[in-house]
Amino acid sequence: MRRVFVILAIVLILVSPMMVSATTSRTLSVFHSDEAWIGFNPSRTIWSTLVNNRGFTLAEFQAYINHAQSQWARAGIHTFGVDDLPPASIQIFGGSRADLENMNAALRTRSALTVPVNWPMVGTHTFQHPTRGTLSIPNHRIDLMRVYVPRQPWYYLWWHADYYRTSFTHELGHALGWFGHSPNSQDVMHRSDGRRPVLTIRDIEHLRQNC
Amino acid sequence: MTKKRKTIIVAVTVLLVSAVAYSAAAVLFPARRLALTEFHGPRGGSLFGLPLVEPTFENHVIMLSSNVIVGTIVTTPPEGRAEQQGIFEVEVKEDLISRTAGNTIMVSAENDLFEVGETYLMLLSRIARTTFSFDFYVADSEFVFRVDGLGDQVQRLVNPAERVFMAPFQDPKYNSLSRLRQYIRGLAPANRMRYIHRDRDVKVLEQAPSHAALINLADHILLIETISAELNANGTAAMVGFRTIHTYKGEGIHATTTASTFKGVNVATILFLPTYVEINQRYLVFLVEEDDGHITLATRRGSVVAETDPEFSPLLEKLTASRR
Repeated sequence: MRRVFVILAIVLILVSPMMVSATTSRTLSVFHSDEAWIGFNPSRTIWSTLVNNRGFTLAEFQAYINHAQSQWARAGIHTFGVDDLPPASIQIFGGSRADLENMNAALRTRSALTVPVNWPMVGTHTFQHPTRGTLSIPNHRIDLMRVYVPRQPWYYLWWHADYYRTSFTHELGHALGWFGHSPNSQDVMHRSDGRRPVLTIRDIEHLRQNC
Repeated sequence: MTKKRKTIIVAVTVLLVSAVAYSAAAVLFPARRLALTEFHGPRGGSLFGLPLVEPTFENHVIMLSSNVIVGTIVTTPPEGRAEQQGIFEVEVKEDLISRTAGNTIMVSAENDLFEVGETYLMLLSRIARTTFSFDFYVADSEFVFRVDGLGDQVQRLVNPAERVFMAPFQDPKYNSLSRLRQYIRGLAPANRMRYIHRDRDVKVLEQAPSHAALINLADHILLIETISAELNANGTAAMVGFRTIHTYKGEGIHATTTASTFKGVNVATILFLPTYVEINQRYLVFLVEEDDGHITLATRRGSVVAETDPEFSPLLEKLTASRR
């Protein structure tokens, strides 16, 4: 029995670098982003904060984050809440637009924002594009991403729960490594303030292949 | 009045009303005359975001820009900040929509968006709040155009990291600054009506004329001790965790950092204070509550008074006296 464990341990030690290598540089089978880069978030840990208890209620905030987590879990990409930063690799801030703009002014012209803080490039994938030939796809390991999703002002009358579900799911996708946007308007990762809170197969397969 | 005359009057009235309605619609909802050669925004940028409006050039000029300028970059932000954003000093060469506050303005943007000495056509959204020690303008990174200093050409920045520019519009006649300038100025009436941050673009009270005026102005006056402080993304304010030692006016702000029922979700109460604030220090803070419940400093200067400040004791005496 002990011999089996020893052999297993040796195999694991040998295989682990190969797995890392496979993650950092390989040939991708699909590519649905309009930008030629991708990432992966090895720890997938989330630390989320409702700033000044404004904008959303805590229950809403939790529900939107849970929705986003459950969507990416469908893709086999499970995320976990943690109580401290570090070790979280994803910080999600919710709150009023004024508070979150004070935190990050780049939100001024956007409805939601994801900002890479620590995301070293660790390799290059290749992808055979049907029309553009062989693409080099830089691959980034995500150590820290910050996500900002504000409650829109009251005069955004058309914004409702599905917009927020979409926003949280979309931004969590970026924080997990879905860089750029999908050109397909049906996808959650499309660059629009859509009402499509459910991931499509394109959203899923693009990111899943790099996780 | 004959039936014929009545008909003519009705017809003329209908025509007039239609003309007025059409003119109003043309101003408020201008036709999208310009098509970009590329729909998508800059590649390789250092942040990802969902748009507030459909990301067309017209929409961004009309709905997201308080100002459109042609300006030259004088200084760039220091390197090394985690979120790769900062403040550029920009010399304004020309105002295309609205007047900027001065010849030199502060512009907040991603560090790799602009380079010193280059001239750009910029879509800007002004932020004026007591939270920040100066007004600044947020650059729209979706539409950044480099202007050829000698000629009349404009090129759109499509990849900030690799400094890739391209002629922005399918219709080549708009790829000149003179044509683009004319076009943007034509959007000014619609911009005046539909700029979405207009109601929050207010004049900031710089300083209260006296201690009494400051006390009177504030909705909340607190003595706090700072626990944590971290600069915001562009380094213009400190996000401060604190505990309240005493509330002199108002209901106070309860600093909470409570873990909730879900692991990893918490509520943090923070104040946005000037960047000079240090941790483990005591400050008197004078705050106002805005219509939407947002709490901010009462004035840009003088609303945060450190225990070591000569103004601290006289203010404290006044506050204590006013409570007797």
